[in-house]
Amino acid sequence: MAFCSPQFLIFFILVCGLNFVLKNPVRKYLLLFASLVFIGWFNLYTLGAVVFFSGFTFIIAARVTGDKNAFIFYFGLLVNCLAIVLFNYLLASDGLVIFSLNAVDFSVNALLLLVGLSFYNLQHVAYLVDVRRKRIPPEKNFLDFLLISAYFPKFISGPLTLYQQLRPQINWPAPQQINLGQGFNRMVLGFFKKMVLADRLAPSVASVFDYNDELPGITVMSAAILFTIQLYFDFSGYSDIAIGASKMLGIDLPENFDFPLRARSVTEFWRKWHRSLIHFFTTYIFYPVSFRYRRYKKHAAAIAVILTFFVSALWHGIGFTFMMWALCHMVYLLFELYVGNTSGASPGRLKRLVSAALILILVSFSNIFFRSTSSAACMHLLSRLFNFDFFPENWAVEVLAPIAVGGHQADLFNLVATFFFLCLTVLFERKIFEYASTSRFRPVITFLFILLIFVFGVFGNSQRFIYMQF
Amino acid sequence: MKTGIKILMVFVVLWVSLLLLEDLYDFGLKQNQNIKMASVKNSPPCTDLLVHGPCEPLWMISPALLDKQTGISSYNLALSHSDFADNYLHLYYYLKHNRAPTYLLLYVTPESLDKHYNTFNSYRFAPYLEDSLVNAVVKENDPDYFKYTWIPFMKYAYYNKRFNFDVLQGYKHYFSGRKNAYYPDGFEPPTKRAWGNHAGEFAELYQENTVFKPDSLREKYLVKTIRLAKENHISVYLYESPVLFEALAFQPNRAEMISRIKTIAAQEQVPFVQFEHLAMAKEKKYFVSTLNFNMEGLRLFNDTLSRFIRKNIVEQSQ
Repeated sequence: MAFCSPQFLIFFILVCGLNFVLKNPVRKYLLLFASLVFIGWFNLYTLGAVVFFSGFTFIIAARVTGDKNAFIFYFGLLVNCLAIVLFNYLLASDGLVIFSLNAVDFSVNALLLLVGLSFYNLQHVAYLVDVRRKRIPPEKNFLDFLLISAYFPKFISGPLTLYQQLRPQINWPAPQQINLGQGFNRMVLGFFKKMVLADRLAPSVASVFDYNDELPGITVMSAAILFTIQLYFDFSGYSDIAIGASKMLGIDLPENFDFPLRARSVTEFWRKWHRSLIHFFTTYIFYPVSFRYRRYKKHAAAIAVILTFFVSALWHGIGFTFMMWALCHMVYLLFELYVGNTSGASPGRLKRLVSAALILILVSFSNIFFRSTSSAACMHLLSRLFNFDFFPENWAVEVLAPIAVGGHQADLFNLVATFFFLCLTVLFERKIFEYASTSRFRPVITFLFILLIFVFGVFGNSQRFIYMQF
Repeated sequence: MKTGIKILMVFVVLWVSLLLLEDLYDFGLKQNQNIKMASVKNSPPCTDLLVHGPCEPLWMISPALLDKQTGISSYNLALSHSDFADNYLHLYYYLKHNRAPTYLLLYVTPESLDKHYNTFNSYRFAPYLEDSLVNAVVKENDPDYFKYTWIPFMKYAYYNKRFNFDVLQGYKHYFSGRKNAYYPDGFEPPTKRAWGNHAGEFAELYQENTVFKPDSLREKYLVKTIRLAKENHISVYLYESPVLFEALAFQPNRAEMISRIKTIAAQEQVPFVQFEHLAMAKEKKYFVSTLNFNMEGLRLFNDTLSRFIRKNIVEQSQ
């Protein structure tokens, strides 16, 4: 059941209504039942895997605290980590289960066999480590553990939520009216970002990345920048829907983004982008590694950066393209670590703008590896980028037409409309976020957003959320 | 007021607004002279010969060139990327608002019977869903779209990238009193481009040993289109234009599909004319893709076609 489907809306209205009137512990079991239905709707393989791994981790966690139980702990970690790697490569195509080393299939032909499990198992890894280190006691009620693991708003692609963040909330009383308004605003913003911004950009990006056309470098770079923006609005849109839906159910999920397009350094970018995953990586990899090698001072941080991005690349996929993507970020971050000026002095508006643009270009360059459908396609795009004819002779045909996915007036009109909404959203992002996060429900603004979704949103050819693939 | 009530009120106001917006879109699209469904109603061409089919006839048959040599008037009703159900509805709507033509030249090729090529473009019929026949055909050919059309404005929202510009253009035509389409005889000249489609080489369009798979829905609507024309006393001619000779090697069951078309033609008692073996089919310089000519190829083919129409259709019927 995808978030942008009518089935989800009907399902959510039912769950939300019942959740509003029921009291605990019935409410808690309603959410568990709803979560299992939500997962089972994708397919029964995913549901089976969720129940199996929850049972496995629940049993293992109860036995990992003693000094003699290190083997059980590492066994639990290993099984969950192997599952993440394995699940990323299982796809369904023409009714068959296929194993593909190219974890990301940006075309819609191959369906995901197992959805959300790389996020799900990562949470189990965090839970096992925390129990082992006695930060939290092991859960005693399996149904509560299953609910915390499989809670449907965050199941598909996060925000990655730690056990201790959700545990107290599942016993909270039913949500108030204020939660409904706040959550609803946030969901509407999420649908707007996904359907009006990200999905309208998707064909422009695909027309450059999915065909091996001989395009000039400027077109490739423009598509890479558009992909970064598409990825941001796709994923932050998903996160807004998840956070909003959960808010309406009375449970707070952690924030995932903090205006990353305004970052003035790559270090700052990673503090603002996919924060729940970065929080996981810093807590469970970066800090322990930096601490362990602290005697090497700056070099300890460098080792931690390299290891963190190596693991992050593996989490996204084993392929060459993800390794290159991670390598780019390692280079950027190490450069900033050793050479960059990270003084807290507040720069002027122009300097901030130039820095943000530069970071967008650097991140977009790394995303050429991230978005490429294969190593060969990636090499082709890079060869076009570093070609002498970076700027074309005919801008209309070689730049505008591929980005607009056609050269008709209607195609250009659609491109202009997309850019118009994109610029407005980026310019007034903070204001829009404040509106969506406020406890006061503003019917007129919400009405306008929904109307814009109907008139400019992508319904028929909507894309699945990009991070569903990881 | 409680937040729940406010949310409910947003939905009520939204529902009403979308109903109004749907009417505005209906009107705008029906005024757009560049859309053939609107154009054939607002400015009926009322011609003797109607050319119909997908992009091949749209870009390759020029009524202006035909008319000079045949002595009869013609109109190109073809639409890019359209299948037979799409063609059927356009013919139905044309006949509803025009005098029936004497002849119908309908493009049929093995690709036409395989659903891998071309499609039913539901969005073209969105303003006309109140017509029960249009409604039924859309329901049969695009059920995923049709099932949401009961929601106000959803018939436009579903494919909205196709509409926003056309609606604005429709209102511009309405307020400026424009009566002619940008392409008044329906023919759209092929764009100037070197050989190649998006994939690069035709071998990518026709993977080695491309096997055509006949689709029963395509065949059904081919037959329905022929019968609709015959019910209106129109002489139907199925035709196939030249195919780049090099591409034939990649299509092992092309002959089988051609014989399938011949069987349908025989059953419906209409001629099937093939121009497959013209000498120009061996010259890559006339093509922009395996099935489409450039302007030079178009002139050559239209010349041959005009002579054929004059000699075998017009003169014989006189």
